[in-house]
Amino acid sequence: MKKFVIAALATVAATSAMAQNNVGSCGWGSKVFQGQRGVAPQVLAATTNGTSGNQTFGITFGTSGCTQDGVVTSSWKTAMYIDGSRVALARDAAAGQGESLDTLAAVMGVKDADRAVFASTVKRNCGTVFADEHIAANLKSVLTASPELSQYAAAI
Amino acid sequence: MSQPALTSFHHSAMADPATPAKRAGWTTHAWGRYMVLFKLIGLTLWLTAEVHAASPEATQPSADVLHQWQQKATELGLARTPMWRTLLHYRTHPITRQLRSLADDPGFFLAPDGASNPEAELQATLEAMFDTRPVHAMEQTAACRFVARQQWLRSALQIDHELWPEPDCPRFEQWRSAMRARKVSLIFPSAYLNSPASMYGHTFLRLDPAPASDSDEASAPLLSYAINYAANAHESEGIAYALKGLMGLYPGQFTNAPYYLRIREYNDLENRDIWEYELNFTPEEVERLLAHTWELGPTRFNYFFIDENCSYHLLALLDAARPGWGLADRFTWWAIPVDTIRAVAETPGLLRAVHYRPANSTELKARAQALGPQDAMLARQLANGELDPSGLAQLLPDARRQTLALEAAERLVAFDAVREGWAESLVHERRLALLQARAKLPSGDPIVVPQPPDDPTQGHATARIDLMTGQRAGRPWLTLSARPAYHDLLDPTRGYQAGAAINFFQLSLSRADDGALRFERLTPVDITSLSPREPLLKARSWHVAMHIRRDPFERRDADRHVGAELRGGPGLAWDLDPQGRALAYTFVDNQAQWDRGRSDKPWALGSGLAGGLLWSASPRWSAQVEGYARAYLASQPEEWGWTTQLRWHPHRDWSVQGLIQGMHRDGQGHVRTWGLGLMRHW
Repeated sequence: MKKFVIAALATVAATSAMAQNNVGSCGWGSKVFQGQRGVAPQVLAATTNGTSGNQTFGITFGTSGCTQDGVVTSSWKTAMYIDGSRVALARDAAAGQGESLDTLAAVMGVKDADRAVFASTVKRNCGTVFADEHIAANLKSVLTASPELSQYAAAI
Repeated sequence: MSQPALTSFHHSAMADPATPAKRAGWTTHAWGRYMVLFKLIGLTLWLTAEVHAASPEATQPSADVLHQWQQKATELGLARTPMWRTLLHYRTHPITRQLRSLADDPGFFLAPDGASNPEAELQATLEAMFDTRPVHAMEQTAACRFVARQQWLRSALQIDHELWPEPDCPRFEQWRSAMRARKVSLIFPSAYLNSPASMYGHTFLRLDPAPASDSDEASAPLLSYAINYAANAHESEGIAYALKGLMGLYPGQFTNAPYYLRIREYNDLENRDIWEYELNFTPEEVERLLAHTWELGPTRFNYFFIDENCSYHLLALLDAARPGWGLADRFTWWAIPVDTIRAVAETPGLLRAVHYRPANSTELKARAQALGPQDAMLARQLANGELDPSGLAQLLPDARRQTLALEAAERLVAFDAVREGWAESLVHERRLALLQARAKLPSGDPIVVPQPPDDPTQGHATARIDLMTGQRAGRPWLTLSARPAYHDLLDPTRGYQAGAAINFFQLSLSRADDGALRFERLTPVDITSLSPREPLLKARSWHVAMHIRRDPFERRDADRHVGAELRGGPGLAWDLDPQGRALAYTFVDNQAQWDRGRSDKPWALGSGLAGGLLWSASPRWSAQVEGYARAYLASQPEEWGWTTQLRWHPHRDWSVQGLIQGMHRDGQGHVRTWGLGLMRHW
């Protein structure tokens, strides 16, 4: 019985320790919509010759705050995708179509019926969304302002 | 629980039938009932205590049972099975014939001599499976740290899961379920010459969820995870990087990242087309792959650029999914990424489909081509900031063409930014202006770069052996050459990048008259990159080579001493033909030579010009004409020469070559060589 209680406590402690890593620092700064540095410089620095020594994604290395053993934790998924795919997203946004844009809609859980409006809204506001590095924050405010899409603003 | 006491109590109560007995009678009756109850409770408590005694530490089988399993493992010869060999990465050294694990991490082994003793390692593994101390990598027990070994031993020994229940491995389970892996693809960012590290290409794995899923997210490959093995290197360029990579001085590391980041890295930053080879794996095979990946994650392997590189280790990982397959075994001396993919692609039933993701530069060229050379210049002007996007409509009334120009311009800015290292703020400003202008135009049909008909695995094999017979300086002449890698300018271009040539460690032997076969030349490295200079990308060409060779300018065979030369320089190339079948090029031909046979000083330092024409008339024919002239410092003699080569490729792996060349060095006369040869790729 004592062993069971100890085990239970340990599990709870471990889970909360992992949960703590999700909040606050991601290694790249806190959540993008709070206006911190982006992913881009780190990615560039570590990948100039195709052998990425980016320790953030090492299976061996525990966590950067937004990844655990290389897996992106769910609360960071959208923000990291936006930041990590910013170049391709900007292109797709300007064109109003493309795989990166479709994937963004999928990550945010945009329903099929709303996809067309989503694409055209992002296209129309692409100057605002990609004006600076706070893409996720900008997108969030654009979505909030749109009657059909405001429900998705929370996904960021 | 002493029965006698109860009985005596019971009996003594029964023995006294008086008033005390009446009370005792009730009591006896009650006690009787309670006694049964107490006995039941007692029995339950006793049983519970026994069960508690069989708590986690003591669930481990007794020493006897463990010993039995160890013996069974020995009897079955499990330590010599392909699967054990694969899981521990044992390999027989090609020269010393010793069996050693490739893992350079003591934490990977449980037996003190585990790195060279499969049997001992297996026995130690079995024993460690029941050690509940979380002392292994990532604070895990041995059973979780070595989860693939655990699962395999369990099934190979047919251990009843009641005797040995599956241990709880929360960290592995969490990772495994997050991977959502059901499909495996081998990803190949193809070689792009301008970056030395990318020369051989690279391979990594992508794990996708099951295709038919209710979640839309499931079908977005960008969100899948990619397992990658690479050197953990901090030098960005230079000799140090090359030397350390060749000598295994970098630790290699398995990493895990979302695919979209890899695409960004390879497609955009390095301008490499990505080929995706979708493989046919069963769910069990995928599980084995995941389990072994988990084992390899924290394990250190020294990275060797030539043999134990990204591609080799990935094959070793695939081998763990399908024991007995032996993919990695086919690559004893070296592992060239494209060869490893060819091995996978040519395994019957393994390759399901091939997909293509064009690089930024490829997308850019496609748009430039659609615009035509004149209008493509508008893209260049937009990218340079010489033309404002608002002024584009006047020059290109057609909205579709405006779209092409703006998209090409934005991609050009991104391309130049990486190549030239522009300031981020300038890049951002320009790109944003172009994207905003593009956004004002209708979406239109998406611009799709068609998948090239030949993927890299369709190309010729990378090793080649040549035999040529002819005449040199009027005497019968025979040469025999062999090279392990890779591709030269006249090799069949199918599946390779046009104008790119890499030659590594080509060894040539020669024979004059009826003499002995002697050393002719060794080429450690010879790289040529011919990129047509069209106004949009303004690509540069370059060439570098090192040779250790017998003096090529000396007529008399007996006087041809062994020397060395190092050459290289920048150059330019131009497309002479819109289909890109003919190329004209020129190089600055800097050269440093060392020749023992020279009259005064063995050293010569000089420069000159080389130029030529390269022509691929059809997939079956290629030809080259080249000439050069060099002058040297310190009055060393000048050199000049020319070469004409013609090759016929009846088959992807066979070529027939005709060669004529003339070489002249002041004071040493003229040497003319001609030859007819046969080349075989394998």
